[in-house]
Parts: sequence; structure tokens; C-alpha cells
Amino acid sequence: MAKVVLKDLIKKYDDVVAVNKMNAVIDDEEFVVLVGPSGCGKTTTLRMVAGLEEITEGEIYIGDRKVNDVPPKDRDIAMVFQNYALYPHMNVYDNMAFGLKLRKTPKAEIEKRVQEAAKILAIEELLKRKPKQLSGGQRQRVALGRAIVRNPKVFLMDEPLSNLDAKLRVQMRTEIAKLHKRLNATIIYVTHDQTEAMTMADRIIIMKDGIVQQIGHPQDVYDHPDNMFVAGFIGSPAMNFLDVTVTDKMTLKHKDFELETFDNVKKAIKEHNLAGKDVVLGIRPEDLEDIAFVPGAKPSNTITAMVEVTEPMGAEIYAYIGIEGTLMTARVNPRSQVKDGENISLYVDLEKIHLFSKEDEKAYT
Amino acid sequence: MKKSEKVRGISNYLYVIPALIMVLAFLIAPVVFVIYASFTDWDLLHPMNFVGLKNYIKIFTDPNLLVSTRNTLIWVVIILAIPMFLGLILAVFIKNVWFSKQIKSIFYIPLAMSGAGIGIIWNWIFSRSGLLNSVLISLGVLTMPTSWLLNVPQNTFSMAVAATWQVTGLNMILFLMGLQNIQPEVLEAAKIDGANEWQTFTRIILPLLKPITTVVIILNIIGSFKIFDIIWVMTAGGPARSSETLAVSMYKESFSLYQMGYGSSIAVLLSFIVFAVGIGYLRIVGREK
Repeated sequence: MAKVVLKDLIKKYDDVVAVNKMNAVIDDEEFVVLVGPSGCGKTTTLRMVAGLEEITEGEIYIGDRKVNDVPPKDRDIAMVFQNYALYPHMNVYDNMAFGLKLRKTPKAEIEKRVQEAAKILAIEELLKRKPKQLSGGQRQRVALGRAIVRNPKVFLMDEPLSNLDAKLRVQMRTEIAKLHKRLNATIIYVTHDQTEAMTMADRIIIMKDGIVQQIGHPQDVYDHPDNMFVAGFIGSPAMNFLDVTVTDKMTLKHKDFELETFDNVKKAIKEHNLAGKDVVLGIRPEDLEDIAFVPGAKPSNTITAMVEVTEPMGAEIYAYIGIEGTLMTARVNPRSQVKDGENISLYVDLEKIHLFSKEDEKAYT
Repeated sequence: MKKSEKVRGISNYLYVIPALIMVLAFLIAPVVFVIYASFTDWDLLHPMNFVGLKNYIKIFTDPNLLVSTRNTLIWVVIILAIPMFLGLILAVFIKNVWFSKQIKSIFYIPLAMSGAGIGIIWNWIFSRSGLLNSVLISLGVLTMPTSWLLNVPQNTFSMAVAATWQVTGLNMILFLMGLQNIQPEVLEAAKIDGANEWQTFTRIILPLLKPITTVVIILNIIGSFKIFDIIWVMTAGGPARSSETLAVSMYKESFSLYQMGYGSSIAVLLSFIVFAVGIGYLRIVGREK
């Protein structure tokens, strides 16, 4: 196992910059997820680590070795692809053994490693089958097996669960997480799905337009997003944003309401000298609740607006409310009497609100 | 059965009838007629007389047909070996080279030309005062012009070069299609697994090209048995019937010598060989699956 260092990494396709000055250190045995919308450069980054894509500028280290000019086969990495990329003409055993055969591993050793990996992944029964005789989930297991038998320093996974159905995806998610613990492997995992990122990662790297937005522990990123993009991308349903003005009394004023602030926000207001300025207020849907269920609700911590649509989810109700043309989501108590087309008063958990700059969208709090 | 269902049943057949008539009139009927004619002494002038197996016995004793058969086999071997190999190499080359789109069409063009047109071009190249002789003489390879199309069996090889020029393009396109059907990720996976270019080619690409290779082989076998237009234009089977193939002999016996019965029997034999080879090959491929 080894750590991976990306230093000032740049990838350009003609004039298009796919990855821009990326810096990251992936520690030994760490599970890092690269997440972002499509076209953000996450897959390009992974492919540069794999050696499938040339590096325009910057450096990549695997372990202590600079690998910029090392061909993929000598980087001691294994990769799992979104579409599995199994060799269609080989059976499962040969698919897994191919890399070992090329490395002239003794036959008995190959047999041992393939059987071991097959056992871990519960595909022992499938070793004689061809890929086309397998289901999507089984194929992805074989692809994982092909990576495991090689016992590489680093596992690279490019959206490995995207082609699976929702139920299987959840199941494989936990299996990959378990696999990580069992193998103590360094894993770099690419996905566009923020749920996968949140649930599996030791740390996540959020990217947009080729630029790293934030690197951190999933919960830290969720609680303290560095900017509006991260705040909106991580978390589902997404964070709500509203334009407000900071008053001299350190309250947040909107045409329809005025919210008081707590110490954390007050500190940010003082620090950034925000009094009198327009800022963006960010509230997560779970920090809004029907006042019927909050004893301490008062006008200074309440927003009242009309409910446009409700979605009962069983454990909670998603209430979509319109405030000055902005649709906001609130996750309210399932026993709430909220109805479409009626007004609702929502308590705001003011300790958990976020303030962002209107100009550069960076977080103040 | 309800009335409406009955009507629908009849109308189903009505839809098929035009196609059925076409197939019967232009495919089945001529085949049956040729088979029948092959057992007669039909010469276009006199009524057809049934002669039993006489024509077929003649095939096996006719020295001209022996030459045709030998030439046909040479064609099959050459067309199976060279254009297929070249087509594969070109396809791999074009797939991996940046200026592929520009050069691809160079190899398409012969494909779009008729065999007769190709025959005329290569006739000029191979003629005594043609391009090949003048190039070879100016390079000092030859001192005297050679008659590429008059010497046996040089003439068959020369014409095979012309055919290669045409067939390679088709093989290339088919192999390109095969290559494009291979997921790029599979090749990348092989790269990461440790395969070098040659190992990737022999252990991943070639096995994955097998289905398209089957198609190419079948097409080439059938094509080489049927080869006619290029030969007809370049040598007309001459000199002295030395470069005839079975297809040319069939035509010559039928439409030059008016031995329609004998020509038909050659046609039947040729069809039978092509059929047998095709089915045999498909069997072998099928068994491997």
C-alpha cells in the first residue's frame, strides 16, 4: 500500500483545462472519493493517476516514486471501470488471472489468489462462466476481483456502481467499504453521486470545472462547506439559498422576515464586516421544521411562506415552499398538518445556518 | 375463428406475396432452370436434350477445367491470405493513427469502383508499355519490359494483385468495424493489467475480432470463387485459356462457345463448392462456440 500525492496537477485538452492546479495527498490505506458533477475533471484525474492520460503539468507520486512517465503496468495500481471492462472472450477465472499470468506469477500462486478473491467476493460458483453470462452485479464483482488478485498499492475505481440498479448499488456500497477495511488498501474512488461519497469516504475531494473546491472528512464538508457550490452539491435534498441583508443589529433581513443570529454568525459578521451588506443565507432542509413541533418558536426564528408541493416520505415530509420566486425545501415532521397551497410557519435552527458572499460565493461562517 | 381474424390471416399472406413472387421469379426459378439445363445438351439453337451426367463427367476430364480449378484455388489462397492480412493491418493502423480519417478514404475508393474499371486501370499498369514496366526499368530492376498478363501463372498472380487492391478496402472496413466494437476500457484494463502492445493485440484484440474475421473469411472465399469481372477485362481468361477460373470458364462455355448445358453444369458445381465451403466453415466456427 502507498500514499498518492498530486502536486500542481494540470490537464489540458488543447485550450480546454480539464484539471487545474490540483493538489491533494491521499494517505496510505485511505479511502478518498473524488466527487463532482460530470465534466468536473474527476475521471481525468483518476486516469492520470492510472497512467491512461498524459499529464500536461505537475507531478504524481505513488509511494515515494514520481510516476509521471511510468507506464500504467509499472505503477502497481489496479482499476475498476464503470462498464466493468471485463475481457469478453475469457471466463471469470481467466479474467482475474490475466494480469498475474502476464507478470509470470507461478500457476499455483495464481490459483490461490484467484480462489481467495473469489471467496471474498462470493463468486466461486462463477469462475467458469463468461462475462456475458453474468448479471451486472456479478460482473462488477469480477472486476473487483481482477483488481484484488493483483494486490496493488492503489485501487482506482471509476464510478464502479453507476451501472447497477439502485438496490444493488446500496448493497455493493457497503461491500466495497467492507473490502476497504479488509484489504487495508489505498482507494481512490470517483463518483458523481454525493451519497456514495458521503457514505464510503474517509475523505472527499469535491471538484468543479477542474478545480478542487474542498477536501475533508464527509461530515466536516457537510457541516462546514467552503462555498455555495459545495454546500449545494453535498446533501440531499440540497441546501436552500436566500438573499438577505445583514442589519446593524446583526439580524438577517428579508422582505418577508427578519431572523436573529447566534454567536457563530455574529462572529462571522464582525470578522468580515458584513453589517449593511447583502449576503446569501444557506439553510439545510433538515434545519427547517413546522413550528407546531418546536416549543421555542418565535417570529425572530421563523419563516412563513406558502407551501407549493408536499412529498410525504414516510419518515418525514418534504415541503416545498416559495419565497419570492425561490423554491425552498423543508424536511418537516411526518405528522405535520402541512397542506399544498396553504401557508406554513417554519422554525429555523439558527445555530446551523450558513452565510455566503454574494460576490465570490465563499462561506463566511 | 372470427371472420375478422380470418381476413387478417389472408391479408398477412397477401403482404408477403410480392416479395415471394420476386424471389421465385428471379432466384428460385433460375436456379432450378440451371440445374435442369446442366443435364442437357442445350446450345441455344437446338431443343434441349436430356444427356444425364455427361456434362459432369466432362468437367472432370476437360483439361481446360483442370487449369480453371487450379487457378481458382490460387485465387482463393491469395485472396484469403493477402487482402485479409493487409485489411487487418490497415484497420489497426488507421484506428491508432491520428490522420486516419484522411487516409481511410484512399482505401475505400477501389471498393466503390466496378471490377471492370479496376481491370482497365490495372491492365494499363501491367501492360508491356505500362506503368509497372517503366518504373521497374527506370529503377534498373528490369532491362526488358515483361508481359505480366501473358505469362503463366504470372498472369493470375498479377490479376490477384488488382483484386487485392479492391478487396483490401472492404476487409479493412469490416475489421475497423470489429475494432470499433471493442470497448476502449477493455484495452485500458489490459494495459493496467500489464499487457504490452503486442500482448494486447494477440490476447485481447485478435480473439475479440473473431466474429468479424468469420465474416471476412466467408466473404473472401465466396468472392474469390466468383471472381470474374477483373479477369474478363484484363485477360478474358487468356492467353489460350491459361488464366481462366471456374467462373470465367462457366461464362465462356455458356456465352462464347454456346455450350449452355456444359456451362450450367460448371455453374452448379461452382455453387456447390461455395456452398460446401461456406457451410463447412460455419460449422467449424459454430462448434468452437
